[in-house]
Amino acid sequence: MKKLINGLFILGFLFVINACKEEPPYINFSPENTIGDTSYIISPVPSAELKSVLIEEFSGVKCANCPSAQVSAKAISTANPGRVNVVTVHPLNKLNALTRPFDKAGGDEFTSKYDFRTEAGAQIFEMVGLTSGIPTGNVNRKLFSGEILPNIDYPKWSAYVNQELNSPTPVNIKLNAKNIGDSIEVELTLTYTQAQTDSQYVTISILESEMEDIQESKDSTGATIFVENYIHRHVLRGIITSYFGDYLNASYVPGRVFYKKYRIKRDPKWNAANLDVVAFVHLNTTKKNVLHSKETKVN
Amino acid sequence: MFRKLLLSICAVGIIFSANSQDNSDKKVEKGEFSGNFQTTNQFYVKDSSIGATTTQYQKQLSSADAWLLLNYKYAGYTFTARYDLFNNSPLLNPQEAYTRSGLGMYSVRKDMDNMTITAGYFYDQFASGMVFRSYEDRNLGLDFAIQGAHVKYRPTENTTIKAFTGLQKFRFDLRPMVIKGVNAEHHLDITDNFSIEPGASFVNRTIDNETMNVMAASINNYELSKRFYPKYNVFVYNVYNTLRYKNVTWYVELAQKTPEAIINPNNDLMELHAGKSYLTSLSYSTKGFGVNMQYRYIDKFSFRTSPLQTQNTGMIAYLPSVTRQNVYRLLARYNAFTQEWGENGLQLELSYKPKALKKHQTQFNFNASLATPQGYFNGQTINPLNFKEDPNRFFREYYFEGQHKFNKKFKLLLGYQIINYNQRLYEAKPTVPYVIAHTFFGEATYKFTNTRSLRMESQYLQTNQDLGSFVNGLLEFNMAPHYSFSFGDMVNVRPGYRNQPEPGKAFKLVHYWNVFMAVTQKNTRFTAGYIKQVEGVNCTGGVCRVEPAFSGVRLTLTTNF
Repeated sequence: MKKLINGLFILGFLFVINACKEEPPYINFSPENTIGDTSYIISPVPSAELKSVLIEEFSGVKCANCPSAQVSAKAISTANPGRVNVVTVHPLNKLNALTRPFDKAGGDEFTSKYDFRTEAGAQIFEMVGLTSGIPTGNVNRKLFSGEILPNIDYPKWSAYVNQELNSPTPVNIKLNAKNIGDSIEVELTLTYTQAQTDSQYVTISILESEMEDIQESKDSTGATIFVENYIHRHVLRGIITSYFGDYLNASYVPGRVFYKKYRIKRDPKWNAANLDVVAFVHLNTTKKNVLHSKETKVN
Repeated sequence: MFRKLLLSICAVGIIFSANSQDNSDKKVEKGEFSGNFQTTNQFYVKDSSIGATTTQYQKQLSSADAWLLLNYKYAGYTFTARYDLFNNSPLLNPQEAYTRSGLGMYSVRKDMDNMTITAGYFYDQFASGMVFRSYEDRNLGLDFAIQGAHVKYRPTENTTIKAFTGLQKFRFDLRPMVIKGVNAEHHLDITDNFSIEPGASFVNRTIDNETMNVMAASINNYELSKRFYPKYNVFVYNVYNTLRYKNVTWYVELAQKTPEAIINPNNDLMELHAGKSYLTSLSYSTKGFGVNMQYRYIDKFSFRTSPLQTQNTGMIAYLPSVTRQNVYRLLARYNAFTQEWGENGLQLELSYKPKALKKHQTQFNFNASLATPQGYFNGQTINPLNFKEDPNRFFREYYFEGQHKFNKKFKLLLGYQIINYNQRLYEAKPTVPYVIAHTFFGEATYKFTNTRSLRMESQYLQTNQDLGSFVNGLLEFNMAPHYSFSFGDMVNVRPGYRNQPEPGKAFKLVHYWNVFMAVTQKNTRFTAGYIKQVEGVNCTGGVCRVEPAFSGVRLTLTTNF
């Protein structure tokens, strides 16, 4: 009997081990969007640009506090014209109760026109640091002293943005984007003005604005309301590069230039007139710090 | 932190003592303190001619390493703490001056009737260590202690079951990957001279999110055809058995691992592979004769905390070289470390003491070892009489040794070694030729009295490759049991491929001399030496690393209490 129990225990153990199927990390098996890629060194080395800061804000249409975070991000951006780039990320299959679109068939009072959620957003949320709730967001994906995760509450963003704006950037970014037929073409030139030792990556995100749709919110008394004509801006719609960035494969010496050209098929759901792209150079080791970012409209 | 821990240990000791006093009817049991201390202090003297030019020679000029281990045993409990110190130390990374000190490890162990529980840091291994070994090797700066919980259970006298979970130590921190495992083995006497000892293990390692993100980011930048889904979890398992029949012992171990990302031999890409490793050894010994054969097959069996760890970092599996561990300086010049990507390793050891020369304690030893990649364990590569260079013969050594005791005062040892060595592979030097080295060696010991003796050793290594030929001599005077003095010189007498003099210039002899003394008092040993050491692969216990040259003074102190 004892042997039988031991045998069953071992069988059960093996079954449990085999039954556990893990979910892999995101790996991009789609063909590259790169149509141009070169690197060279120029002299003299140009002067360094003023650093721009990236705010990645994680949001959801059923998150009543999220509009407040967006107001805060907008205020920071307005106070620092051209130097703060905001990306609103609706992660797919993360915190579903707050991020899933409204759907009458699912028992909701409304049905959303859009589904802002993306797999890219979910991967970034996981990479930068999952939190148990939203709104949350990061400033340059940096883990600031005294914080547990790069993703932090929105009242703290302003102080950290100012801190980042006062630091130099080692790389200049030139970014152009245009609609060509049913595609978007992006031209990117990165020029290093200071030497860097850590491996560097570049990520290019596509954002869409001026989308009117339902959003849960709060009124001035703090009561939950549903704003049917809420204007959603800077919403992450896709990533042209790999979700975690494309590796910049050359030495990062002053004068080093990386020129890259991408072409991506535009999703028919996107409004070509309301698209922007944001490019940012960042690390991708245990640190994810963004060194510089730039946003431009897709013309 | 360390002070706090010591205070805690003392406090626990006092509480136990107090409890014992309260229960006056119980037998009062005294606790027992024990420990040891070890330190190495080096003072660097720059010598560009031998390549002794790392950061310590240019900036720090001296370094120190020290370990103080304390054990306190009381009523079945064992409290252990170790203080580690590294000041400007090249030990953990020869190219770095590492400075940090503090609590290196601590543990609390409780021994019960048939169970032992350990919490904190622990060292252990399953079977030969091929699927799991946490160990420390201070000579190589390795410390793979696991911090976690460990249980050892003996349901019967002949059965042992072990289980653990924890994180691997990395310097004064922990690597974030969770490791857990279980092992069971049983000893069975079938007859008086026939026994078996079967066992099995199962080990799992889970990669943390942050490390996986770094891995995924790298894979996403590979060519499309080379991308794959990396695994968070890898499962490694083995079955093994030791069979003993009269004078014969046969050990066999079969280990496999599920697919995971491992670094390819070029060290540039991760690839997804399952792995396997098989080890078997057969030995026979009788009076005056002993033979031992060992064979190991490795196929992509790299098992580390993550594929981002290479060389001697993050090792969970212990795959020591199956080649001979040499002691003499020139014989140990070329060493083969295990090729985790793929290797066939074979070793044969023979030992023979002729009966006719029993009075003289004469002994002959022979050792042959061979390492080849997968698919080349055949033909001319393993032909024992083929002495031509063959890069697929990663390593081969033939070693002959004869020793004879002429009388009570004088004994002599003579031998010969021939090495085949793929230096490109083992030392990552892409342009160097294959090394073939012949070494003749000898050692003579003359006893003046029971406590005074003189030992002389010498070796001559001949090769046209690497740094060329060397002569080494050492004279050692021993005054047992307290003092020992030695002087030696290793001279680079002829240049090789890597140190040819410039055209028109003569080759200058390069000396690697050393002066050494040791003083031993009871459990304490102090040594001092001025040492010049050639760069090369340093191996201890079958694990190796490439070390730069050393030039300077080395002081060591070890004591047990």
